[in-house]
Parts: sequence; C-alpha cells; structure tokens
Amino acid sequence: MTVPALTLHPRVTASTQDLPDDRDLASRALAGDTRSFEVLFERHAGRVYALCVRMAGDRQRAQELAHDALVRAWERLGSYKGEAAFGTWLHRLTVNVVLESARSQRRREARVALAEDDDADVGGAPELAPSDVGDRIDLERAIAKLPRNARQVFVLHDVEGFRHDEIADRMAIAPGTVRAHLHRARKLLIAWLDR
Amino acid sequence: MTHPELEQLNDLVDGRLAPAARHDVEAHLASCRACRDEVDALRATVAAAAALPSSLPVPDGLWDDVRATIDARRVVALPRAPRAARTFSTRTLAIAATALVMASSGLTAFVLRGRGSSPAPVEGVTLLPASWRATESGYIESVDALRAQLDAQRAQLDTATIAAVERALATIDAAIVEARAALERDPANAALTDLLASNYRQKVELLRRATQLASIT
Ligand SMILES: [Zn+2]
Repeated sequence: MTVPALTLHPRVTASTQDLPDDRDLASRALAGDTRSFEVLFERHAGRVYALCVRMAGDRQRAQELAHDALVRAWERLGSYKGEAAFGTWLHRLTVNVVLESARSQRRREARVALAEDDDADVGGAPELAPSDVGDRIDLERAIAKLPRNARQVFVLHDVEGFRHDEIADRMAIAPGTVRAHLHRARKLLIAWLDR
Repeated sequence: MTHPELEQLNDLVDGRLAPAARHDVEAHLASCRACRDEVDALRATVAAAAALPSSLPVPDGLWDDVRATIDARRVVALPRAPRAARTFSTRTLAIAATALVMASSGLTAFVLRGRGSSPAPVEGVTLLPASWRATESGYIESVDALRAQLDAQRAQLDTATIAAVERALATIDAAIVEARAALERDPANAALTDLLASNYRQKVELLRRATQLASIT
C-alpha cells in the first residue's frame, strides 16, 4: 500500500541506511516536520538535559529547563543557518535559556529577600553514599549542592569548557567574580569529596 | 615560609598566572608538600569535571512534553507557556485553553486538503490499525484518570475557568471525533494518525494543566 506524500508530515526516512544529517533534519523541522525534530531530539536531548541538570542542581527543574530549551530550539530553527554543528547551536541556546532563568529567579528573590547573600543556600556537606557508588556520582551530587552562582560558573568552566570572559559576558558578572565563584566551587568540592 | 594564596594555586592550575608569578609559585611548590597536595587536589577536581559524560539519560516523557507544547503552538502561537505549576494563573490557563481550541479545530480539513483530495469513502467496516488502537486506549486511560481528578477538584476552580476548560474540551473532542472518522475511512493516512494523536495529547495536556491549577488554588 502506498501512502501519498503529505506536505504536513513528510516521512523522515524510509530506510535506516541513509540517515539524514542534522542540517537536513533541521531544515525539514523548520518546514514543520516534527518527526525530523524528534530525530534531532533523540540525538541531542541527552546533552541538553545533562547541561540543565548540572546547572540547575535539581532534576525536576532541569526537566523544565530542557523542555523550554527544546521548545525554543523548535521555534528558532529559522535562526540556525547550518554554519555551526547543530549540537553546538543547541548547546549555546540551552546555556542562554538556563542563564536567563537564573537571572529572573535572582530578580524575583531580590524583591523578596533583603539583599540576601547568594551563598546563604549552601547546605552542609552533601550526603554522599559510601564509596561503592563511584566517584562520578559523588561528583554529580556534590555539584548539585554548590551555591547557585558557584555551581553555574563551575559547570560552564570546568565541565563545559567556556572561557572566563565568555562566562562573565553571559552571566553579566565581572570577570573577577567569575574567578571567585570558580575557586569557591572547587574548594567546596575538594572539601566535600575529601580529595 | 609564606604559602601562596589559594587563588594563585587555582590560577596556576588554569594557566592564568603571569610568568614571574608562576615561577615563584612553582619554586614554592618544589619545597612545600602541603601546597603540592592542594594543587593535586585542584587538578584532580578539574580533571574529574572534564571527564563527566556530556550526555545523561533523558527522563521519560520529555519528548511527549516538548511535542505537546509544539503542537499546541503549531497553528496559533501560544503565549509563553507556563511550565511549573507555581506559575499558573487562571488567566494563563484560559488563554492556553483558547489557543488549544484554535489549534484543534479545522485541522482535519486542513490535513485532508493538504493531500489534494478527500479520502475515498470505504464501503463496509474499516478497522483502525491495531497499533493505533493500543495507543488510543492509553490516551483514553490518561484522559479518564485526569477527568476524574478534575471533577473531584471542581470546587477549587472558579466558574470562568471551568467554563473555559469545558469549552476547550468540547472543541478538542469535536476535533477528535472528526479526525477519528476521517482515519477510519483512510486508515493508512499517517498525517491523520498524527493529527488524532496530537488532538489526544492536547486533551491530556489541557486536563493536566487544569488539575494542576486546581491543586494549587
Ligand atoms: Zn606552601
């Protein structure tokens, strides 16, 4: 049985041999094809989500941020020109969504609390399971417990590889502040992980 | 012996020390075990962070949520969709409900027009594909559960909100009936399957938002 070609939902691919590359998928998605976008999702959502988890320090919030970033990606596919890798474009867009959300959260909190120090939310040492859990999980948990600004600077610099000036620019803070947050994050992690 | 500031050890690890300062710190490290341990710990932390996997398993339902939002905004742009229950207001729900209505109605006709011809009526009984029937019963289960929850919480919602939700539900239901009837006549039509699934997702999403709203007001 043949299915006529449909403009609203063109099939992504009939065979698995010639999988379309990200640029093809992005342009089909831009034309309204959600199946192509689903393939892009399958390829890249894990990285988006990992970034959101580490930046947010909270899985529920991370899922909301990942949702918002992916919906925004869909809405802004027109601004993806194909010059960079799609994954890179999506990653930058996700960083923006996360940082915008952090900024508006800071503004909300500033209205509520009287210039409360960001550092006030440092808990004690995170509860780390015994060593059989593994260093990686310990590190993920410890990152989640860092104060927000220190956590975000640490993730952007030490996990994601952004430069100090890029971070200062994107977070709208002074380069010296970036440095201070980074050092503080490392110091807390070393103390908690007993390195 | 004066130890370098921890800031300087960090900058050393990051390669951010000027040559002269770097020379001084390295000379100190050669003779100070405590500072060497500090630098080793910093390097280990930086290396462990860089070695974290770049991807993590995506939570179940993330694609469905993304897809539902995309579908809801497909025809008429929704206002910034409220995600977290705490940001919901009656007003945004009413707006979202209206947009969902606009998104749902008339799409079946649009899909059929997109094919260039209306489906040929099929004589006799046509069964929907078995795979779709399983999918559909999943949606119907979710709808029933949410509907029961919403009915139980009705008292917490004001009448204007209830009216907006009911209007939106009626329109989505009409769209479901329309798409389903078209799919029964043309079971191989993938676009109609998508459309019917999308209508069900919108219904689930609308009910989900309404129950969340009721549980926080
Ligand atoms: Zn020393």
